[in-house]
Amino acid sequence: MAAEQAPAAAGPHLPGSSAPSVSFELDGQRACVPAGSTLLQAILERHPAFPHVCYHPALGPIQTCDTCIVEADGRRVRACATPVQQDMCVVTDSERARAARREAMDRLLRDHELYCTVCDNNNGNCTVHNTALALHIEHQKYPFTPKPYEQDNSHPFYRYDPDQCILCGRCVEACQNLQVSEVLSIDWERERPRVIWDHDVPIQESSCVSCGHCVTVCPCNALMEKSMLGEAGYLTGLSPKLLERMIHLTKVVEPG
Amino acid sequence: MARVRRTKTVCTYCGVGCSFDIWSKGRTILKVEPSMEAPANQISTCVKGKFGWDFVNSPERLTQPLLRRDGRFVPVSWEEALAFTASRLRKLRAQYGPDAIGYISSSKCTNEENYLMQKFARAVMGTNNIDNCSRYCQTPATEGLRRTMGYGGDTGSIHDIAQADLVVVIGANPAESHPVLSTRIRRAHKLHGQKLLVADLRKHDLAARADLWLRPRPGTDLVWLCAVTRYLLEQGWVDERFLAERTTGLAELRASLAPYTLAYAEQVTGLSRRDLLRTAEMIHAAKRMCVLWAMGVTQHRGGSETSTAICNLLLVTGHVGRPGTGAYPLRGHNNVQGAGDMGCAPLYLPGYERVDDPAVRAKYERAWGVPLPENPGLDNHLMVEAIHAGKLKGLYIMGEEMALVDSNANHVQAAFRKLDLLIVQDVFFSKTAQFADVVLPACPSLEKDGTFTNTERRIQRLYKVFDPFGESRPDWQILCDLARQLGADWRYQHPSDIMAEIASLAELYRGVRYDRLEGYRSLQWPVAENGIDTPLLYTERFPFPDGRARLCPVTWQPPQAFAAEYDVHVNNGRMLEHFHEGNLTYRVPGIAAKVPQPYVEVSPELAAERGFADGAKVRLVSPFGEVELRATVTDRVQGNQVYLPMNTWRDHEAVNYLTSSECDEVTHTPAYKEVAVRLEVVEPSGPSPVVHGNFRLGHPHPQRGVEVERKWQRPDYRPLVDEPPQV
Ligand code: SF4
Ligand code: SF4
Ligand code: SF4
Ligand code: FES
Repeated sequence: MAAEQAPAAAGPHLPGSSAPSVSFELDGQRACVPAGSTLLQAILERHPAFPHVCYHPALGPIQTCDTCIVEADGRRVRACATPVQQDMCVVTDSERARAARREAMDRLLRDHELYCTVCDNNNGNCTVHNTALALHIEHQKYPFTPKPYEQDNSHPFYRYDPDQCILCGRCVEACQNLQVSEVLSIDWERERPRVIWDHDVPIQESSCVSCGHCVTVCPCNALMEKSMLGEAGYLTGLSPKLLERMIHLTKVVEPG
Repeated sequence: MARVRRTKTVCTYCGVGCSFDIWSKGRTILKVEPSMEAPANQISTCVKGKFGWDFVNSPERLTQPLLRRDGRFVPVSWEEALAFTASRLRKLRAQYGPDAIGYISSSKCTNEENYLMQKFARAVMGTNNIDNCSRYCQTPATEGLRRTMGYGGDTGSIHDIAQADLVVVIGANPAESHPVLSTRIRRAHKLHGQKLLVADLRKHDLAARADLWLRPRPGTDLVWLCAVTRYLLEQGWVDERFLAERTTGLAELRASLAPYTLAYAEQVTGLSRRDLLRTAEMIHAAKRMCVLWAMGVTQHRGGSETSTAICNLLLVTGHVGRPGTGAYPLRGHNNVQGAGDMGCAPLYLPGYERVDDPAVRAKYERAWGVPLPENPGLDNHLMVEAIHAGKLKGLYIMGEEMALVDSNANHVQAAFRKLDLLIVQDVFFSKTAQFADVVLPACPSLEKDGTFTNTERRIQRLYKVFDPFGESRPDWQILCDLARQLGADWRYQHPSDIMAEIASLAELYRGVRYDRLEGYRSLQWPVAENGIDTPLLYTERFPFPDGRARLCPVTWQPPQAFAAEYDVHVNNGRMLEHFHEGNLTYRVPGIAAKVPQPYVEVSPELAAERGFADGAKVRLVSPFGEVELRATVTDRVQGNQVYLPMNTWRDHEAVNYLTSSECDEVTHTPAYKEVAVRLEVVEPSGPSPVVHGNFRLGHPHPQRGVEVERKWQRPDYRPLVDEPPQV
């Protein structure tokens, strides 16, 4: 085994070099990927910025966000959860697919206030911010509406801000099926769903073991290390080009 | 505004070896960010790695060297401290000879520092009296593996454990001691049908989740292991081909197992025949089995023998050398593996090359340009005895809270009082430092460069995040400074220079180079000259002359017997939140708020029988000492077995005032797990020591996952896809 070997992915997708491959058509070009790959994995090879908010390679497809929708053999599907099949015909940039991804992102932003200029998660790797950029979101179709819950600041190391939570469920998947402390869930049946700890108690009273998985995978600032707050926003030294794009974005979509 | 910096480091809190970026601004840590590139953990961390670093800026850090003068410690300059230390070492050696001084290295320090410590002892000071605290934990496991398979390390990687279809955990509590590794087991068990068999006294997290939980009497694991091995052989449920082609000693092993009938095992271990048979059946059904073990096995007088019995079981069933199989003696501290690899043991030079082999000695003599001592050295256990016997006069301890973490603390501290010279090098003014003549302020991992070797034999690079605090210095620099004071020509400019020397000498590390370890790249030893490493050992041969593994007959060593008045058994180990004696983690305010002190876990039966409730204050009295602390009543423990975590720096709570000087006969690992006490109730009730914020008070809410179907079923959800979603 080579010293240069890449670390093994934690997800279920582990194509070996000897694994059989499948070939299919991606936006009019032939593409070849290891058998068992998902459409999203194949697309990301070619378009690394292709939208995928809830998918994380360590967690696998959880299918909550709908921002990865493409057309496969004429049907709109979630790229993250669709296996590539031989000779499949995949179109990422059809009008229908683009509209679906836009709509999905608009829906997410109803649950997330874009105050990126002052956000401590906005340091180049905020998934929600970057996806909004990639999808050229220029106005918010559904206005942001706060949820009727307080921030939870009870834990010494991290906080949950329900108003910023897009309900992607990455944190839940990480807590239930990677850390497997089984603390987090989303209470989907409420008028306004939210993430809850145990059977809905403050974080500090829950069975949370403070492993930090949920905070690490959160694609925005809903779950944040408290030590980041007020310290790590965009003002802290990003490249001017990136800064400019961000300011542009926030000017267009930030309320107020 | 200061810039945000991102620096890769490796966690120092356990042998899993998680790596991650530290985001920092000035001396403030903004966050710890693990990523998919990290070879052992990917995006995983536990509370200590993710949130446990505030201690680096503690105002209690040692910032200046201290000298004891007229019974008081006074701060002095480095020049003065080094000159004093060197002259005292020289004098002691001149007066009593080189073997009158001992050197304790550290499983928390880097490979480079461990290498220098043993080189200092041998090449500068001329003695083999060098050891490190891996003797307190996993040396018996190393011994068992070296006897049977050849290398003293995990046979595969964490990835293999995740792939196994049966994981057997014996005397280990990975959920608290190797947290990220335990997540891989829980995930495979919950999602991928992995089977889990746990043998432990205590209903810890994995025991509670296990398909089969065995609760043998303390110290009897060897007996059930041998009985199951014997039964598997009898049934023919073994890997005949593997046995024939890749092992020797089957006939002797078979004969030695004759006494270990199921009936005998039932009688000694207290396990039912049904559970013994189910164990054998689960092993028989497994295509890929991993066995994990830790201090519940090793910290007994028969620790090496039981470790050997585990290896025999794996070899008989052929679960070695294939993906998803193998032996995993979980290494406790971050660099237990590396401290051993670097030769911080009396008998071994780096790479486990034997000191008593003249060819090996000649190689090191050529490289180091000095004659090397031939006398067998003392291990840490023997050093304590030698101090009491008046033979050892000086001790140099680097990064080890020996006064609290060695067994029989009263005995150890009495020894320290007898020393002519005690040099302590540490980050904080530890209990051990209180006995010192010189205290040298050292840097924690975040303030230095170097490498650690994790439980997977994986060598990983850590990069300096901060400059040294105050006048503290990295341990490797202190060792260089001191060696030069003593006339050695040590000119290492950077830890990479030290690694270059290690690689030129130790076979196992032959191809290790810093450029091959850049960023998140890592190497698992043995590493060949060309950089090819070995994630999985023994795929073709075992490193013995005939290439075959050796089945080794074992003997059961019954645990110590105690007088009838000592009727409560004290199991002990770690808590998730704290590290060792807690010098670091109790200085992290958020962690200290969640678990401000250790507590003794008592079963509901015992509490009822002795008439006390949760929160009671109890005194535990052993033949060697006593502790006093509050109790919590929990069904994690049963009957007369209580559990006392080791994580405290306060004398009246520290378990090692209870432990004895008994040890494993082969390796001298203390029998920490053989403790019996008398339990006295001081106050029958009181405030519970398990405080608000302790996760053990919570009520988990297991689900399949995020359960997105419930979102799709909402009346206000309009699908954006054209076909029914595939779940
Ligand atoms: S930090 Fe707590 S809530 Fe988050 S994943 Fe870990 S256990 Fe779950
Ligand atoms: S807290 Fe973060 S990860 Fe969790 S559901 Fe909300 S946005 Fe997603
Ligand atoms: S599992 Fe071990 S190495 Fe990983 S973060 Fe926790 S203590 Fe550190
Ligand atoms: S990334 Fe595919 S549904 Fe979210």
